[in-house]
Amino acid sequence: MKQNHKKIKIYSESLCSSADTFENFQSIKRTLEDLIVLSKKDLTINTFLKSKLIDSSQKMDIFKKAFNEAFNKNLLDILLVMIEHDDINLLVEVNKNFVTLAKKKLNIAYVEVTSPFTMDNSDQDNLAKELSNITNKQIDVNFSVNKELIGGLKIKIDDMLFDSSLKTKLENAKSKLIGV
Amino acid sequence: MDIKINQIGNLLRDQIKNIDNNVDVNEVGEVLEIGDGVARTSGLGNVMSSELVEFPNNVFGMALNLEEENVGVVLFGDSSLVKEGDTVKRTGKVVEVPVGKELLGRVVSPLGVPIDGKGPINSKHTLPIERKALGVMQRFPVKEPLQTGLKSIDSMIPIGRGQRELIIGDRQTGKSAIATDTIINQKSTHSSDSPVYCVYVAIGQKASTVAKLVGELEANGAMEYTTVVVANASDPAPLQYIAPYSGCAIGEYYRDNGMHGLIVYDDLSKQATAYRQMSLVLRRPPGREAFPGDVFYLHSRLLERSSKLSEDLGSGSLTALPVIETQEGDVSAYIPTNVISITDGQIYLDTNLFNGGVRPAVDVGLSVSRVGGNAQIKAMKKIAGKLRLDLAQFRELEAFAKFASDLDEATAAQITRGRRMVEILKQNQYVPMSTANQVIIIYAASQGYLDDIELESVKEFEVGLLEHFASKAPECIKEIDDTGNIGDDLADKMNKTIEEFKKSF
Repeated sequence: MKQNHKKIKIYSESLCSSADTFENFQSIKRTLEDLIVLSKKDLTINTFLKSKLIDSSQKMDIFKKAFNEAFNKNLLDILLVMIEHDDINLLVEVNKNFVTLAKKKLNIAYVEVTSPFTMDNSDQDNLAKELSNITNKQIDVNFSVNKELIGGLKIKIDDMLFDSSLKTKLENAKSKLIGV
Repeated sequence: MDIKINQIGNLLRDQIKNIDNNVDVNEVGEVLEIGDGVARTSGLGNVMSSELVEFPNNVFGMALNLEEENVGVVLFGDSSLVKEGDTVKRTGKVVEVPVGKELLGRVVSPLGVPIDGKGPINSKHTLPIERKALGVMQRFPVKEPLQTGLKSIDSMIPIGRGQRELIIGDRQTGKSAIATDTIINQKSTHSSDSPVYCVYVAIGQKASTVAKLVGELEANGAMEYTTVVVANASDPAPLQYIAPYSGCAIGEYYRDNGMHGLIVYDDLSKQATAYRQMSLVLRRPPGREAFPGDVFYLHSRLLERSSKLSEDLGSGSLTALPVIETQEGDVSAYIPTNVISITDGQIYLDTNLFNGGVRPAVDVGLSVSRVGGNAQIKAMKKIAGKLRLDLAQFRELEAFAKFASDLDEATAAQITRGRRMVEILKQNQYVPMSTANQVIIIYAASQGYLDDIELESVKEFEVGLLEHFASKAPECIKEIDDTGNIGDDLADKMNKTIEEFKKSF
């Protein structure tokens, strides 16, 4: 367990050092997330990555050929090292740790915006810009739709939740009325 | 409940008026896993230890384990209403309860929520349930008596205001009965200038038992000055864990405002068991009897909060009567030894005495009060010394007499006296006795006036004697109440009255 903790730290720090810009960070993060989803959903890839019957050098060759062009070079090298040491099962934890480290290093805030209807691109851009100005950070923003909100917005910046949705206001009013 | 249309209208209007500019701002986290009443959450980076956090569906919890990557939260509500991925909000405040006289006569949960159906509690003050105990300079020695109304306790194991006296014994030995009688006996203090307000904390008991107790307190007029804090056996372990701290905060209000409080924790063994369950689920390392390492601190920090305050702080007091249940009379188990070492004495109840008809089944040899003697009135002190000695000698001789067929006169007299002493210390439940009456009957027994009374008639003699004093010599009762002493004149008067009654008995 302790050994794994050490390995996760080394891999995520290496990934973090190669993420020198916000764009770079986003590209590595997206790639890692895609890879995690793929390995979870696709049984062939999952079996290939975890199989003890296939030699690690063989795995590395196949992996290199498949992703040489698609992946960032540093990222590919780190993934190859992980395959070589049979540590690819630590990918989820490594990604989590990498995001935490990179956010701190590049002053990035993770923002989740939930609205009751789909916002158009210009609204999304304006909101992202505004949030970046307010927080004084680069923001990694994710938009989603939840009709249950009825009106208003829910904006989660890291651990802080700013909730102006009509749903919450109605719930607050309800609990105040119950307390009469 | 009376719902006022105007109030609803105003609230709705307020809500609608502020609907555009109100934004809820909360620090939040996410539930990673949930089970056994404990949730592990991510986020909540700034959460405080013991902070109240809110889950969806009005379920609240308390943050206990603050770890590097996650926070362990114990739930106070139904954990089936919380699921993985739910948002958890900080409330910014540690767990607190409403306090004050508005809680008198009420039955509340450990979070201060009324559960007696008598409507909301409009308390003006709240206090955090976890508070630091007072320091040395803020305290004052225990000097005022807290009368239990039980002859065997008030005479031989006296309790003072601000003391912590443990009630310990096996199941079904009358532990709760002593605590209940003590609460009922405080009724007399409410016609004096220093009333004692009571808090009864029921931990892990059956709801029916608590309902019966509340009924008895109501029937005896004791609910008027009592608050009952309940965490039933069916409540989650975290509620059973915090119940004594909540009760203590309610009691501390009286202490801190120059009044006197009495708190009963019934019982702390069940609280320790609930804490053990919580700790194991939170993956804290188990120690002796699988209790976590800080189980001593669990009880010491609670009982240290009972104290007598200095004059500068208003001279208030909070007396604690913790209850511990032993298994097969084993006082050397982990939790009993811990609590014995923390408290200022213990009342040990013995199963054999109980089954033998000695009720309250107080084992005088194993029971002790370390500070209460200073609080005893002089009259009681004078007669109690002899009583304790007589009883000790009786116990020794009684065992010896079982093997010997012939006894010399002195030994036989000692046994006769002892048997009558044991008889007068017996007392029914819910009939606490005033101090003056206790003094009179114990005085009569220790002076040998009961030696020639048949054992079966002792009870009848006691009732008759007290009635005789009340009708023929009320000045004796008044003098004991006023001076708290038995001077030579009073002793003569008492002897005369007893002899007079004996002639007619």
